[in-house]
Amino acid sequence: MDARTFLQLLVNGTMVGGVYGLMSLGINLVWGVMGVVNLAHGDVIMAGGFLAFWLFTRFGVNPLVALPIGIAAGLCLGILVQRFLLGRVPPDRGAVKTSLLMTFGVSYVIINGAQLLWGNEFQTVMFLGGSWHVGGLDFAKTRVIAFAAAGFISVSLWAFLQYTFTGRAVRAVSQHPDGALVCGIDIPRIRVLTFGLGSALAAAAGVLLVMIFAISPSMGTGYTVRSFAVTVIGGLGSFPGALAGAVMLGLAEVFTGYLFSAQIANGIAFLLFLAVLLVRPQGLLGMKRV
Amino acid sequence: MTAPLLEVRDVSKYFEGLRALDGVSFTVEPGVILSIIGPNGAGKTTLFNLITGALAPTRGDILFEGRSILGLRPSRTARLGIGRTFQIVRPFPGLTTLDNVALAALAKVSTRRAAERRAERILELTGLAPFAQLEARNLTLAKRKRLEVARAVALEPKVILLDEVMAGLTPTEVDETIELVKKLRAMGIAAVAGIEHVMQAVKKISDHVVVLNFGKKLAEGPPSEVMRHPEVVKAYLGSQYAEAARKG
Amino acid sequence: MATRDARGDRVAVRIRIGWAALAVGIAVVAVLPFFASDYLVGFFFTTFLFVSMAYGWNLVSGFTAYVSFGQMSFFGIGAYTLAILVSRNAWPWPIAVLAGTATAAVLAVPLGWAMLRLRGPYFALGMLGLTQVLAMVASAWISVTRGGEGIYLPPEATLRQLYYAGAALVAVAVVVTWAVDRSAFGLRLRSIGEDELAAEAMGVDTTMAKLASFVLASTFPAMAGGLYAWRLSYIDPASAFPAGYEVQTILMAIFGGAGTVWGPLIGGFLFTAVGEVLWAKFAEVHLLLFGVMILIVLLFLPEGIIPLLRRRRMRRRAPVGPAPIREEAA
Repeated sequence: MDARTFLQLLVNGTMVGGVYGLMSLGINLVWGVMGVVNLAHGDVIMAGGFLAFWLFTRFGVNPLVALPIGIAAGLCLGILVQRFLLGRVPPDRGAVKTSLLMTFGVSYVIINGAQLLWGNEFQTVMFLGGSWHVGGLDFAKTRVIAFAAAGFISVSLWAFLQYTFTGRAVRAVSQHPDGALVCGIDIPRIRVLTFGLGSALAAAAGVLLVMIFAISPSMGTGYTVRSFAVTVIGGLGSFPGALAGAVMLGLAEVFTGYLFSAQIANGIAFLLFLAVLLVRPQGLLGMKRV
Repeated sequence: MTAPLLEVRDVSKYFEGLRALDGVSFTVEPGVILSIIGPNGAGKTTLFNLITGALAPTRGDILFEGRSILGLRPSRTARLGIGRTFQIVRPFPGLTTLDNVALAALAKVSTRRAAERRAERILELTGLAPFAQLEARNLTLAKRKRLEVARAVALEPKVILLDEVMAGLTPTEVDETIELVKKLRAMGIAAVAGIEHVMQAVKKISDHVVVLNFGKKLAEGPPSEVMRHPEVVKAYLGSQYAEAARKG
Repeated sequence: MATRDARGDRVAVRIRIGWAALAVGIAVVAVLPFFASDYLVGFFFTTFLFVSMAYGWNLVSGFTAYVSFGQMSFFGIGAYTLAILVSRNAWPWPIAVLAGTATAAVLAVPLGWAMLRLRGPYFALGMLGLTQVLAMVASAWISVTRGGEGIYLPPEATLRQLYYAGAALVAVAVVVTWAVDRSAFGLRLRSIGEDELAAEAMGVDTTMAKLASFVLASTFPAMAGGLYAWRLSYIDPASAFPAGYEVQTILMAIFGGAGTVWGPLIGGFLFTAVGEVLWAKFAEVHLLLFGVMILIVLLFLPEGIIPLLRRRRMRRRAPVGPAPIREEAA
């Protein structure tokens, strides 16, 4: 591998990593606040991608315009799931188990719904071809745009959690639910909001993802595993950790894809998170939560 | 000279710079009731977790019948003869009282039926027999604490670690628990009881008392002596006990 | 006491009814292929596979509460082992099924050792990922599995043979679960499901117990996978690691009652029956409706049918708790 190829892979991996970072924020937030890993997360990503694909092929909607539509759709979906399903699980010993199973059921519904609506083929959105050339390296336009959009949404989320009252309430619930309750925070409402937000982030990531990769209804699980892997690598509740973990995963995938095969690259997320968990259960980067 | 039953030798445990235990040593002889007293956060539960092997000490050694038990997992120390109860009671809530005890008895016998027979005897001994078929989650706090003791007894331990078995009980229940601990001693089982502030119980049951404060051993000796120790009185028991202690 | 005798009689009657129902069930299953249509026999065969897999899941996740979303890993291992041994080495299919089962059990030792160090969501995601990775291995390891092209088997499978093999598998699953439930091992597994730390403190070597249940549980999907591949006479990564089967298997066990002896059997038959009706009436959207049904079960019947019935019976039987006996009497 010559230096130019190396740098090119570095660029590609970093840009994919940006989208992975956004992808993982939703699962991270929901897990941190609600203690539940959303097994349907990847399927919402996939559904967001298909929504963008459908809007583009049917109505010629630019994916960047589809982005807010996807976010809104994801938000609604998440709110409905939390309001009518997860929120109704009685908070006893079996709650986490039941919630986990429930998100698994939601995943199944979304996969089969997507297959009904859009078939079982791989699809992608080719709305912008070509690359920018800087310093002898190619920056594919769609990747740059996806990376920038992912960064913008991530920073917005961070600002929301850091500076708004509601955002602080979300963080309070994640850090100390009892304390938050004592402070008069309406926890059920925060949980509805959090799950909605998590799904909105997933859908947004899906819209950006479909600009870079081809997607199919059955591949959501792979993205659930990736999002989870990024969260495990970076540490629960850590923004810088999520970003670093996502770039790490993006690079690992791009390099193994180049050196070995795309199939092995697809499995790398799983191997990474397993390795991390077996060696350092507190997360590779061990970053403290915000 | 025979080795003591249990020996804690200069044991320290640090959690990210926090010294939960700092150079603590003591020994437990067979059939003796040792109380470890100290306020919340003094390191009693940490100490129990080290002895059972749930945690590894930062420094020091722990010997059981003269042999180091460092590095053994809790199931091994339990089978060797170290039983324990938990401060926050944790019987298996979905299992019946009988199955709770039978599970522990399986450390000594291999079949389920033999374990159940043994468990029935222990339930008689601890007064839980009428509740044998009830799921543990339906028992009152006092009975759940008692069940914890019954479970630990079923291991046929040589020493039993009792973490706050008195806390949160009514005076009658405390008396019943004291009787139970005395029964254990009559059976030849030594006990290490971690007690925060049920002082009358300490006096009634202890052969020996170790006082912990911020992870350090502050005093040690027979109960009447230790409880008159001025440092101890000041640090733990407050002025009302200081008064009582002076009167004897 | 008269009431106690009456109660004892009622229990005896109930037990006798239970045995009678079981005997009738076995008799029906035994003679069914002689007069039923191929469609019905095939339906029962599929149900047997699911029921035995639900029992497998029940052994690891029902008893120990380690929720596995990756039992299809072993289904795939069983399916591929059979396909490879039959297509390359011309092994007789029953031996190949057993070989697949043994392969899965052997692989389950290191896999379980790694996976069971994870808990809660980590274990769940670990197992979910494991199936995915094995499917990728099956796609990429072309020299052995022929990748996406798949392996074709001689279409020699007879439905009746498979049917009886499936029925035997269910029988084994029931007997094993029944034995585990009554054994010391079963009590140890349950204690892990209730509170792992406390179990360890009570002398249970939790690592060994969990691993044993994991390995035991792996054999049922492996055997089912072998039978499935033989019936299909073709196997590729997608059919060997079917994500949808995972969902159905888990839901059957939960629907009937996770951690019970008869739950997977009852849940399995009810679920496949409902699934079949959905398929017949709403062929296009039946999988979607199936998913919705899953959510409904989790929402309204998270503990399953058997615990529900048991609780109702308890309530009817005992209006008050145990008699207030003085504790110091002992």
